Amino acid sequence: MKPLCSLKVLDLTDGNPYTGSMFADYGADVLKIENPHGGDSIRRRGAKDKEEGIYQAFYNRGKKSMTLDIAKSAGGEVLKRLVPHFDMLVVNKPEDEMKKLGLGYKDLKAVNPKLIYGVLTPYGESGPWKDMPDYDLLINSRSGLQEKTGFPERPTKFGFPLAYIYSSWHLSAGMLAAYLKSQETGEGMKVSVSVWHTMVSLDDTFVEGLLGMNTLPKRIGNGFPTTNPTDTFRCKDGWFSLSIGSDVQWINFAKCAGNDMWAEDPRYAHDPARSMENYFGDLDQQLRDYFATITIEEADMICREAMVPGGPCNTFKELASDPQVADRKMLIHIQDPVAGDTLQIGRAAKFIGGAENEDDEIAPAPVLGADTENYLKELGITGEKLEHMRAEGII
Amino acid sequence: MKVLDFTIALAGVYTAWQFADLGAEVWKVERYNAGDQARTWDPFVNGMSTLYCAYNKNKQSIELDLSSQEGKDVIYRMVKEADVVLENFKSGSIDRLGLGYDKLKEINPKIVFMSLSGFGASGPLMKYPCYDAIAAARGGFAASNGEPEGAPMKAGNANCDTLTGIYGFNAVLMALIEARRTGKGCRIDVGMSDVVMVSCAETLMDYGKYGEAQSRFGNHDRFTAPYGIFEARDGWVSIIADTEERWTSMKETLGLPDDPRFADNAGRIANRDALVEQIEAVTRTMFRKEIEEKLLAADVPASEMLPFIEAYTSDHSNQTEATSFAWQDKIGNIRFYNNPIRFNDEVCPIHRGSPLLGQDTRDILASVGYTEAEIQKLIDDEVAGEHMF
Repeated sequence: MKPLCSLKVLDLTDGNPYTGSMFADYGADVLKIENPHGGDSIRRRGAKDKEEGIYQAFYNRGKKSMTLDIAKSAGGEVLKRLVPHFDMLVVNKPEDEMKKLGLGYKDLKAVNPKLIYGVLTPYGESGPWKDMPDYDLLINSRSGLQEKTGFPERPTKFGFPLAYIYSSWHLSAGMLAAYLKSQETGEGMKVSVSVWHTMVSLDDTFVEGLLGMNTLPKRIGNGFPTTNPTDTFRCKDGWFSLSIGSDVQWINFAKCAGNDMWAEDPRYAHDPARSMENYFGDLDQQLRDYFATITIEEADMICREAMVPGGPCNTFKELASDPQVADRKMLIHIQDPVAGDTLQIGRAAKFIGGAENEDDEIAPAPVLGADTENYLKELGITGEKLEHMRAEGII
Repeated sequence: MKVLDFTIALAGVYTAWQFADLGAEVWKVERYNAGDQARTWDPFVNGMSTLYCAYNKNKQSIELDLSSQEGKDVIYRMVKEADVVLENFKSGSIDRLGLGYDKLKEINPKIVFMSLSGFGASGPLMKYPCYDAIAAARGGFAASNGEPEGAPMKAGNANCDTLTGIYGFNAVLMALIEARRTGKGCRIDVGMSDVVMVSCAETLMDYGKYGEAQSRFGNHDRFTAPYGIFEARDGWVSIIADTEERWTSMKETLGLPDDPRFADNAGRIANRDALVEQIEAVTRTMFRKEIEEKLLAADVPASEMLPFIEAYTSDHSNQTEATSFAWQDKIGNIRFYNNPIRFNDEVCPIHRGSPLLGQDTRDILASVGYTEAEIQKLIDDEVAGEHMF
């Protein structure tokens, strides 16, 4: 099912495709507006040499591509003529920069009153940090989560752009909510999200912090401050994660692991003694020693038998042959026009029993500018006019 | 918009919270005389869990015994008025309670019903329990972070829960758009592990394409150096010198010696351990703030690493409405984070803090058509409650 099949989106983002990808994955008609000089920089991220990488094949799948230099006035005019045919526009620069091009929210509202105008910026559109450099690692570093992630001796960097992805999903949600509202009121909205604000707001310890309690966030690796054991252990053949949430779960685990002492000894059997007094050190070490003697598969079977939360730390290698992943269609083949057969991550939301709308295929990512002429033709720009725009570097 | 919210674990609680922040009326249905499990989580202020406070602002609480027929009848009435139902019990439990989608859609065919669970409503793992750390492990999130030979690393917060929460929020809004167009709702099935795979798609697919044996690359970028986390005298600083100009500038600013091994990016990648050691020999002698200021002045992207408390008490936080005061029963007037989504440049208002158990039981019952006498009877019969803790 493609629940967004009625939605049309102009995607002006550069290097930050996640909001548009959320729309495109669920059936929206997403037209990427890319600069004619190489296009969206996401096309080159993670790529070797001058190729386009797997990221572009994934993040731009299902979208269309038009080259258009909106910094040139003729390009801006074309965009303005496109806007009435679309429900939404999304950009990852401050509206002020768009205003300079005559493409601010008010400028475009004048040609489409129902337009939803989405803006993603690293730190918001005002405040002392608004011009700070726009890198995921740096935004994360300023927001708190980076400092809190990792073992006590040193923070651990994220291997993927978590802050951009998380905040882009806030922007897509805000735009969808605004679109629902616009269906009632007939009036569009500007929707904006600061990546930094999104990251800082996921902190759940602010209440105690602001009340001056002495329990500020600490970096505790894969642990959890109050319910234990929660940690990642090295088995014979790799890493396994265990997350015990209650005494019942712990006692079941102990029994299935064949260690009655863990279930019966008052130091370990019950909280708060187990988690708070006897975990960090004694019990933790016992568990390390124990897991080192078994395989991941054995650990997994024990957790399943005990019905406690546990699981292997999968990499792509394991996920590629995981029956759960196959059942959920979370790895799918897409024939990309440039990269060929690609194995991509699937869609996480499953819509069941909605309106009849069964076309479930995902189209591959477009070649840069693949749809330029089609869209211009619809605007009546053809022949010499089109060639002129090409010669001027506008398309 | 009205949201009937059965969620009990963070992912779902987060979705409901987004609805509440953006102005929907969220009816949080809580277990009679017990409530959301998060109410029992440390730390407490005046008997109120601060974690519970963090995730339930702007919601309303109705306390119900769902095992009783009268309790179910209340839900059936609420469903008539609601647009959305959210739940994240163990897969299938809500059906056994008689409150599953098949039952509720008979009452309201336009209802959008989302089930969030650890692994989704199908597949061999469907019935197994899952917390944030396990979704991080199974979905590839943890294996994407950390030193190649060291332990995989989850986030320092329940990020797999919150990622799932915001993804689920998107899914419900999509289904609402389609329901308004077609008059027909649907059921949505979202698994945490699946969302996690989407969030770390880059490290996963990279591995898939190039078949490289390594899934995580420690505190530095694979393709560019210097690009990563460095030790400072009083903490940590992130530095990105991603062009030759910036590298030259960084070298001058920190007074690094000329070293032929680091002449170009390829050399710096090949000798990265030595490079990091050389940089840290300098940065360890400087305060993080000082490093940031000097590098930024020299056009080298850098940031000191702030703990949460320094982030939310920063000038930037204060001057950009990252937080607002609101009344929290049992605690008083405290700051909450504003929702990061702004509409027409305005933050969404915070109407109230997080509700006490059953604080809105009477109001919600009245709004779905119960008379005062009927409400009293439900309370006397211990079907509905207002325990207010």
